[in-house]
Amino acid sequence: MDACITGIGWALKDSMGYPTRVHKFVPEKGLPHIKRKIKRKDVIDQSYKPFGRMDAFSKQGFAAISFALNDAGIKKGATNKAVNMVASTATGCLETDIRYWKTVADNVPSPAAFAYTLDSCFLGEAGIYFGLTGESFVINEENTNGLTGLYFAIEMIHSGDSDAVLCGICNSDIKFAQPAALKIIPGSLFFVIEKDPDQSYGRVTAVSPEIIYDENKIEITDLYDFAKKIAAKKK
Amino acid sequence: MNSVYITQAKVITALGPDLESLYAGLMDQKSGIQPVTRFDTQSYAGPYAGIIESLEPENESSLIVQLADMLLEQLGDINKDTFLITASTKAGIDRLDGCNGRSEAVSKNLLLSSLTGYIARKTRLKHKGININSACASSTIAIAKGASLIESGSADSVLICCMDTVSQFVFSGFSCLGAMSDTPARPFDKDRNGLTLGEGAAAVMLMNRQKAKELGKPCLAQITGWGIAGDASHLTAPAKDGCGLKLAIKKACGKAGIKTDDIHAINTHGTGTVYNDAMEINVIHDLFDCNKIAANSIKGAIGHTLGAAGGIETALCVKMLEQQMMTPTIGFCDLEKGIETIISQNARALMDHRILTTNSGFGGINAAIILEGG
Repeated sequence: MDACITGIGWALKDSMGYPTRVHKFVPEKGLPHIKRKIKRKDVIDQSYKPFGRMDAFSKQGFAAISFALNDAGIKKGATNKAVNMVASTATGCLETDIRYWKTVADNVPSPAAFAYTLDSCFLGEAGIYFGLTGESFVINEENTNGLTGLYFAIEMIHSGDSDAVLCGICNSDIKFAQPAALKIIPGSLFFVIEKDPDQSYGRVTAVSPEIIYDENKIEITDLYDFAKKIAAKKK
Repeated sequence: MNSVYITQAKVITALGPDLESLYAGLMDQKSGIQPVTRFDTQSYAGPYAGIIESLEPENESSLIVQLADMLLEQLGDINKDTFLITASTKAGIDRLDGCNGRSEAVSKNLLLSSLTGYIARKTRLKHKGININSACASSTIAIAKGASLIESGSADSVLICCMDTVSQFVFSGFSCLGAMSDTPARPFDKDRNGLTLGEGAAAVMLMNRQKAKELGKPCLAQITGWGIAGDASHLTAPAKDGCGLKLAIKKACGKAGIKTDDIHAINTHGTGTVYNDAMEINVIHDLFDCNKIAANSIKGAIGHTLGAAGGIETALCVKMLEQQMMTPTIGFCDLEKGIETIISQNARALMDHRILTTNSGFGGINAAIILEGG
């Protein structure tokens, strides 16, 4: 089973964007909060009221998806393509859960906060803004490298279920009581994969349980490492 | 491509500890919905939920662990090569009590993957498993993805374990969203005013025919079609025309090689909210021959079990196909216009050996599964 990478997008602590348009964040004192850094006009062209209401987890996931679609040349409302979405996460929206729970403890439960206490909300927002009516779901895994999601995505392309799949990772910047067991990169990274595009960053082939990047015949072991390797290539 | 069979279907709900008690309770028009005593509900929209009485808070562990243990007891030994998919929307969120919003280190037991890992260890499976999370369509999508793995030959057996509990976190949330009823839910009632939460668990084992034969497992029902689609409309309300649900159903029918006219029984999502039930009535009228369709909802009897809903309803469909009976819908007084001949408070004989079951969730996600058998 195989498919081609046609788009890459990310929203991480030090930068966000896609290979031909990178927005670097100026380092600040202490831990930078991704939510303050991601502005609507840097992510999407058109006004979208819910963007300002999104929690940090949803905002970074939405941003990475937007950049990946831009890089792949898939426009908002492109009804000629069936686009599915698969996201992997270790933290989920736990940071948002804690923020909502504080409002319950204060006896003023916030509906605006509760609305974002599902890991899949940012996929819903991306679907609404970009007009994506395909499948979407989140995979929760500890220490996620995103490969299960990529495997499902390649299978969807191979089976003809979709023309393109957005697959990637989204994690919050959250402090765990058991830090040694978890190695999580806060932020979000998404790929667009398609069947036989005119231009691509290369082909990926799934031969269970491995996923091979055909250009160098290397096994992909982690989506972040893979993204760094291929982002420098031109399509 | 391989055919996909259900070889085990187990549930725990507010109507009892297994599938037989769920089916018998529904056929007797019983309700498992009662006032919640686990936490104070005075400041919320209503006091009701579908509660599993044997679930009691113990020490520091989450109720989800107790529920998982109860479910796994029903399953017995599981083939160690089985791929595990869990489906839970909030898992151990009842243990969030110690986090009050300040920057404190949190326990990784709050992560959804923690539940998956617990079940994988208890069942001694080789694979760690994954949790699929897509709001109230989580377990339907998990079953669809499991079926895809079987069909493509990527797996010979897939175990889907779905569960969610009634926590103050979720209860307060649906209340403040204005989605919760002040009475037990009334699916498809013309005066319905919201959902009632419930807790529950389901385990559905999928296999290809060869694996089932090799392990001596019965093929209880076949999953012949599945479809997943989004509304692309609103984060917390369904599209009024049900465009996403219609697309999911059409995809499922396409996969099963049938037309929508070939469906005569539907287990609906039927939450009792104004918008969801209205949307489903629109979809039924648009896609099906209303003179040749019967539908039900079980959420008036056990509440909306969120991530477990699709799994429980799929397991119930296996039982309904075996008995060739559609279980009653309870909770309503006067049915909404347009659904009067389709929903009933009485049990009815199935017209054939096929059932469609659907679920919809926040983010506009919709999923549909077609089962055949009995």
